[in-house]
Parts: sequence; C-alpha cells; structure tokens
Amino acid sequence: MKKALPWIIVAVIILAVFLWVKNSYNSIVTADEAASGAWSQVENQYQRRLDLIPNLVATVKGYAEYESSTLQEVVEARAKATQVTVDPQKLDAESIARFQESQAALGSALGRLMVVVEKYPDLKANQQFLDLQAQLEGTENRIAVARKDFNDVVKGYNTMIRRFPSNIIANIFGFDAKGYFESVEGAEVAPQVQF
Amino acid sequence: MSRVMRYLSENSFKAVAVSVVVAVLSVFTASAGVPARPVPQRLVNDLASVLSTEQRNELERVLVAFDDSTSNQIAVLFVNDLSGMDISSYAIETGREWGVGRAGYDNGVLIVVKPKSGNERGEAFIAVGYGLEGAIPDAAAHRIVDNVMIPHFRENDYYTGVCEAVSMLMKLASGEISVKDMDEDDSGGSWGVIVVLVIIFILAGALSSGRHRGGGSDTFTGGGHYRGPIIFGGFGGGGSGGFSGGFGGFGGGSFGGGGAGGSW
Repeated sequence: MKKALPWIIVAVIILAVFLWVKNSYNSIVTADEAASGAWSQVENQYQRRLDLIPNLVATVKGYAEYESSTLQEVVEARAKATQVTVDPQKLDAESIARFQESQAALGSALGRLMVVVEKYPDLKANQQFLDLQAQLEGTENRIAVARKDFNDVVKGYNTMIRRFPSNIIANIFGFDAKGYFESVEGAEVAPQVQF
Repeated sequence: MSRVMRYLSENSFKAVAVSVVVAVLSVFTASAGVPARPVPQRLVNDLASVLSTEQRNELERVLVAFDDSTSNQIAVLFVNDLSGMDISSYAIETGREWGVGRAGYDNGVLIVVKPKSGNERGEAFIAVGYGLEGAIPDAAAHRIVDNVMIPHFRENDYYTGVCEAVSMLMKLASGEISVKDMDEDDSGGSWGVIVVLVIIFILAGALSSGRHRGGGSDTFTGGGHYRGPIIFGGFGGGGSGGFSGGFGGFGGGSFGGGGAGGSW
C-alpha cells in the first residue's frame, strides 16, 4: 500500500496534465477554426465585389465610352486582385497585408470610376446602373462588417495563444499568430476638396 | 528558477495588459454611440421626436402584428445624432446590439432615419439581416429609400414615408412581391397610402383580438392566422392604451451589412 501511493500521485499528475493539454489544445483549435470561418466570410464578400465588376464595367461602357482609361484601370486592378489569395490555414500578417493592398487598389479604382460617372446623367438614370451601384455599396458594407468580425475573432485567437499558460501549448503545437486588417490610411477621412 | 519566474511574470504582465486592452476596447465598442436596447423593448423608437404618440403606437401595432404573424422583425429608429459614424455602420451595429430578428434566422430589418436638421443632410438606411437578404436585396432596399421614403421625408412627412417603406418591406419579406414587381408598385402613388391604411386597420383588429394571449411567445395560438394578415378578418376596435400584449422582444438576429441607404 505504501509503495502504491507515489504511483497514484504520479498517475493523478499525468492525468491532470493530460486534461489541461487537451483542453488548451482544443480551445486553440476552436479559435483557429473560428478565424478560418471568419476569413471565408471576408473572402466571400470580396469575391462578391469581384463578381459585380464585369457587369458594372459593361453597363458603364455603354454610356461613358470616353472613360475607357478609368474602366481599364478597374479591369486591371480586378485582374490583379483575383490573383492574390491567402492560405486560410495560415492567415499570416504578411499575406493578409498583400491581399488587403490589392483589394484596396481595386477599391480606389472603383472609387474613381464612380466619380467620373457623375458626369453622365443618362447613366445615372439607368435603373440597371442604380441597382448595380446599390449592390456595390452593399458589398462594401458587407466587406467592412466581415473584416471587423474577422479582426474580432483573430483578436481572441491571438490573445489565447499568447496568454500564459496556453501559450506553451500553442508553441508546442506550432500555432502562429494571425494577421489583422489594418484600417487603411485616409479611408476614414473624407477627401478634401481643393480649390 | 529565476528565469522561470521572470518568464511567468512577463507573460502574466502581457496577459494583464492584453486583457485590459480587450476590456477597454469592448467597453468602447459597446458604447461606440449606438443606443442601448430600449427598455421596455419596442419596435418603433423615436429618439428624434418626429412622430406623434398616436403615429408611434399605430406603427408599433403594425410591426408587432407582422412580427407575430411572420416572425420577421422590422424595427424603426429615428435619431438626431449618428455619433460620427456612417449611417450604414450605425444601423448595422444597432441592429446587432439590439438583436433585431430571430437568432438563427437573422430575419430582422432595421430602418434608421436621421431627420434633416438645420443644414445637416437627412439620412436614411435600411439594414437587412442575413436571413432576409434574398427577399430584400440591396437594390430593393435602395429603391425603397430613394423612391418611397425620401420623397416624403423631403416634405417633413416622416410618418408616411416610413409607413409606406414598411408596407413595401413587409410585402418583400413575406414573398408577396419580388423586386421585379416593385416598379409597378411604385407608380401606385396614393394607392400605397390606402394599402397602408387598410393593413393598419386589419392588423390593429387582429392584434386586439389576439391580445389576450401573453406577450413574449412567438408561436401562434389563435387559429387561421397563418397566411399573413389579409385573410383573417375582423375590424375589431383598435382603441386601447399602451402595448400591454405587445412586442415579445428582440430575438437576437444578426446583420452582415445587407441593405442600402440614401440622403436628401
């Protein structure tokens, strides 16, 4: 009986360590999956914007033939943005920054297009164009929401893998910190009109 | 040993720092300027005082009845101040904060109107929950804002604008009309007002006849309620004070950025 006691204590400790590792590991995996899920929502919404563009370009072309350079910029920015993808298993800061950059370039090309079309009253009266414009605005809102949700989820995940003691488990199993969407400089500031 | 201690203290310091930041952030996001969920919960929230009490009660009745019969929640909010946010993010945040629509179905709609005041532009936004994005696409929401609401808002008639928008949204949400039918509907002009009035009457009757059941449940008790408000009758007198049997509460629906807005 006396000899068995140390073994029982060892067994209890091993069991406790096992349970702790299991719980920490599983909650990190859950947070990791939540981040991947939030990312797929981000990608969906950006994809939705990519899908709207051919229709938009075709509609604008019919009315604003003199704006071919602006249209061309949009088409090129779209092509570039299509090529940049992010591995949803990693979501590292660098690839998210690249993704964001290419999408921001597309966003500003689209912004310029929406400014030049102001000169075409016929286009502004076209119901199809108005619907596309509403869809585009809605997509931008959805992108903003999806990005915010993604950042929130990643914040939870990053906090978890950096906090003691779950950071030990994260290190052992190789869970890396994920990147955030940075708010783009000047995005919140309304453009200044200069005279 | 001391290395371990240092490791521990650095990390717990970091942990404390991170959790303080998180806590501060969450306090900020909760009070980022969107109004708290109203107590008692109601679907019409006129923080800008543009509706009369009767108008507010009338609209509330229509919306509660629609919630009871279809479980789609349409909430209306008038505010004077968007606390520096875009109206779109303001509406989406508020919709999420309040939980308009049922959890899991996300079938809520939140109409936010910032009336024109002084030289500030008026703004309106219809935020549509995930679950209704198919029935009320952005283009439809946009047309409702531009063609139905803003013309009335320009004349300071907030009540009629919102009522017509609500009746259009109810038809879209219950699948009675689709976006394609909207153009013909728009030309209706005064016809729209008549429809709204008729619906209000019918719903007021329906609500008062169903009032004896307790609030808070989203199941049906009375028979024959199912196919929407039109087929069950009874112009029961709608006269009553308060909403004793009224709104059962927001259901925890979420918003993903659907909807559209406009300004005037």
